[in-house]
Amino acid sequence: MHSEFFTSRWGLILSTLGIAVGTGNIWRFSRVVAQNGGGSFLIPWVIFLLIWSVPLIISEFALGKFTRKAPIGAFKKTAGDKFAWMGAFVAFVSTAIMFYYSVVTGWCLKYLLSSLSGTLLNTSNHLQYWNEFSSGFYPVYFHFLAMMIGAIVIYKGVVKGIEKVSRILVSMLVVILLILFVRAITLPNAIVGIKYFFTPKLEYLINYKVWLNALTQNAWDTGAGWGLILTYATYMKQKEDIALNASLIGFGNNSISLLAGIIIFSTVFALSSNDALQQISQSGPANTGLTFIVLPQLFSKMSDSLIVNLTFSSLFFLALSFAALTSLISMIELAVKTLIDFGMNRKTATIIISFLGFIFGIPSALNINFLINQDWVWGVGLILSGAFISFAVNKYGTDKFRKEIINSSENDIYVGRWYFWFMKYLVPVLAILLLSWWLVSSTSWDEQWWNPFHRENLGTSLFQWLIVIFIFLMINKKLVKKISI
Amino acid sequence: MSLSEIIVGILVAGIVWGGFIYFIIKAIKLEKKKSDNHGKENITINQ
Repeated sequence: MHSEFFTSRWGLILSTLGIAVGTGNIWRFSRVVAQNGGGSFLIPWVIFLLIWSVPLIISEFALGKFTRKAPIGAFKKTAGDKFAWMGAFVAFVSTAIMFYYSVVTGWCLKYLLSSLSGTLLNTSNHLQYWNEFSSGFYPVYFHFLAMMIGAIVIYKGVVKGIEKVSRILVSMLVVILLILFVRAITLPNAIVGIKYFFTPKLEYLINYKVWLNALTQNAWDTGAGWGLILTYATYMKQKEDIALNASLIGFGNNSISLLAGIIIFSTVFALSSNDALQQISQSGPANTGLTFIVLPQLFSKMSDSLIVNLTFSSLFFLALSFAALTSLISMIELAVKTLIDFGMNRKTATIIISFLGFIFGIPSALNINFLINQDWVWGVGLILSGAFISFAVNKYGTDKFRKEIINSSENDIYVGRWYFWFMKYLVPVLAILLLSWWLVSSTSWDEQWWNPFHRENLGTSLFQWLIVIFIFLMINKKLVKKISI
Repeated sequence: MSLSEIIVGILVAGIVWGGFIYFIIKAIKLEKKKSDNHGKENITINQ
């Protein structure tokens, strides 16, 4: 058993919300809304929150609280010894994402510092500024800084580290976003952006790609199916509820996305002299265009006062850095907790993971194409992770899981039979559908779709997944033997 | 704003923000109830 638990419901909720709220809520969400017809996208996005994210978050909370182990141990206890490799895959996907997410967090920290110093707003060519930064050695320094901050928090433990830092950062993030929200919606012409954001268009609503993009957004940015919520749930007290906390995380995460979306649409439509919609929807290198190129340009035009512009630009990058850091912390914790489950102590595990995290993140820091490849392979791999989690619940017995684990005596909300239908049929079908769509689509944008050494295609995904799955299948017996449950 | 924008706005923001606020209020009430019960238990034990 653990010696540490989150001290209260609010400590647990803020820490878990810190996992879910990341850079994807702020920069990816707005871009995807713009590309998929504004209000037309929001309708399926809300539906998939209810039928994909919330059931999976409930499952992760329950798996963590019941097993008190990171994914490998959790799969061993629920799906059985033969399937521990699936837990290892879930843990590996989130760890592989951690390697390059630390680089992304470093970018946010760099832009925060540039904004605070005034350098960012004094720059005339923001594309050149980004290119000079990202093509040099600086991303490695900031990747190191991000990894160091995350490692210090994890080293301090659950209560003094994760809970304390998440309480401060997540609360401040919400306050900053509310300040930016008030400023953004009071800008002249902001209403044009808000109107587009909520305008439904029938031709988009009947397009299946809009629905699949809405599902993808929920799969990637709520943290459902990553194994991260499962890991934090291992530190929840026995008396803590599952269903209410899970619902709070799902709805809280999407509330923050909505807030960030309105901020970005209002700001870009109010301040952009060019095509605002194109500015939001353009991807740029590694999907960074909106955040690191367009928004700094617009912040410099926000008012005639440099101080005001600096303040709002700095607040935006502060919010982005907080969102990135709290998610990075949870990814490091998952890897550390996995080693703890194998008998290592927290401090040694933190040193090992942060060192490996730094080393394996360097290729992504130095080469953006490598980062894009990893983001593609493991981003899509997360859908497979979600499918594995639903498999574990179904292998244990979906209704048995609901009755004995979710609806235990400590639960504040009773989870009905709908959970059985969702986890048994709907989530696996959606996962297969989504996975197939992404992989088949990737064959259309690369003639050599089978080539495993290309940046984004079917071949590179399957090649890397199969290597990892093959290794974990080979060492499955050892994993099972060494982990105690 | 047109009627369709208002409907989508109210529907989406209502479900997402409304749901979040509803669950926060529910959690606050439950926490208060639990702490009240805990207080009563202590009084009973002390008596």
